[in-house]
Amino acid sequence: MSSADVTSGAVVRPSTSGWSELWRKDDWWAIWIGLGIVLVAYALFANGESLKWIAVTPAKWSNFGQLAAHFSANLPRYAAQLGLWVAIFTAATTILGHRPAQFIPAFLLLYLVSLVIFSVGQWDQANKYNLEPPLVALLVGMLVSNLIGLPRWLDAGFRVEFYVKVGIVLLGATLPFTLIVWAGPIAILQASIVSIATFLVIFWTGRALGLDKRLCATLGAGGAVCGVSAAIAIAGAVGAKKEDAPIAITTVILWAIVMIFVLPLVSRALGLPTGIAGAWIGTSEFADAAGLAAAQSYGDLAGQVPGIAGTSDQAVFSFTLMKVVGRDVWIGIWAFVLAIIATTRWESNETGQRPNAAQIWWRFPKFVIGFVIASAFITWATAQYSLADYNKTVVPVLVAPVKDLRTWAFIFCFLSIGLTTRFRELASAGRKPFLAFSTGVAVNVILGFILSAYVFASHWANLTR
Amino acid sequence: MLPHCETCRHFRNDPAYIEAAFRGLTSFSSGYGSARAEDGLCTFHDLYLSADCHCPHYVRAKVSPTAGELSIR
Repeated sequence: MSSADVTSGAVVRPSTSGWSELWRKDDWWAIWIGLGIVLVAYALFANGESLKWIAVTPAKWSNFGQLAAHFSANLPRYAAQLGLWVAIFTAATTILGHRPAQFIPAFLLLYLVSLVIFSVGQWDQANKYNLEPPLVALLVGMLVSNLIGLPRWLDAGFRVEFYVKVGIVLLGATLPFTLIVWAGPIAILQASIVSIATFLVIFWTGRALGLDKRLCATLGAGGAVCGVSAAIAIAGAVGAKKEDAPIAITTVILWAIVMIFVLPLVSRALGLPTGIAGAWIGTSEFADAAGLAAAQSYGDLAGQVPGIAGTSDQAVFSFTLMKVVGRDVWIGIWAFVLAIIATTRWESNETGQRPNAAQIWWRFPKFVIGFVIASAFITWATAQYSLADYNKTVVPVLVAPVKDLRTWAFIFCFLSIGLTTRFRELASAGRKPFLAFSTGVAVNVILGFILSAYVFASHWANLTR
Repeated sequence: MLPHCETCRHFRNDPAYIEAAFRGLTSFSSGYGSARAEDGLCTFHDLYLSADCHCPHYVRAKVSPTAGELSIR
């Protein structure tokens, strides 16, 4: 699978629409896997057991002797965890269409490197050297893929989007449902303001530079809604040229990677509380995976670096509320509205394109359903506990193991970003599209900061308190 | 009513094919995600389209269970 022959179309695959979506889309697999883990965790908890044996993570260490002792004592737990991941991910990806013979060796490599990166992050001097696991995973992955290079078939195991969706569903189990209800409307309001402003700036800047309307819409959605996924969704909805989506993909990737490093760096320089920084990252990053890398790396500084108030969870929670609830879920509506505009206001082509309201559901990021169900289920199942009992009993036995497995899923995701980002293979974006997108980035970042750090500052700073 | 692109030989929407055609897509997204719906590339018009589009150049495809493998080289 080294290249695509885009011109020889003799056959097509049968449609995957309808009920078969339940096993042909990675969103649904994230739900089955994420909710499956949550249900097993709860069943064990209800019977006086815990998932924590298999949810093992490297412990804090200060010398190699301690690290070696940890692995020596916990080898069966790591082996069992690896077996669990391999079994469930192989089953899912095989049904999705990947070959187990390619996925399994790729995932073994991914797990081993993730284990090393996780261990480095647990070194008690890691923060001193800025060795936050999300950033280390990203950098290691990019160095390997761009300087050394790996066989293309290994990409079968580097499924960024799949791992991030599984992680977000698991994250739902650690996020009180009341928090979604309380913070969701503000997230939607803030995200809507920034998304609409960003889209319009990119669109009109692109038009002023002479770019095609459909390319402008594809670029605008990439900057305003949910990055690459939004760009290709809108490209399809408006009937963009074949080369438009790759242009948007390149610009989104470049800016998303820049922002993974810049947003936490600026947040640190300004000493932003983690809740505010997470909201800003959620408003101004371009992809879920990139934003989680930035939010988690900044959240990990809480309690480690003087002057950063809040908790690690606050950064991840406010990011997720802003990005997933505030921005991602609206992609179908953006697609529908732009399809109406494209077919009624823009020059027509002979493809019979017409707006279809059903695409609001087709394009809905279904993994969000799993995220909300996981949150509602754990909140309901633990409602009878007082806060003291919740922290003493529920957190260590039920919530913490799910959170540890979530952390693993995110590390797989962050490392996969690096391993699949090959800069020399990206399509050339061109000066004008890059300029139009960059103008939107500037507006997005500034507006997102003002809303997060001033207008709604107390809301985000006090999240989970 | 004209048949939709979904079953046209010019229309390619296999997720693996889309991921191979749009380099960089997998860095932050996926060909297997819900947001993409069933969109695909029309090799006749060189457009990226919804599967429910149609046009006068429609040619019925031969459907094969291994089409996903065949469409990527």
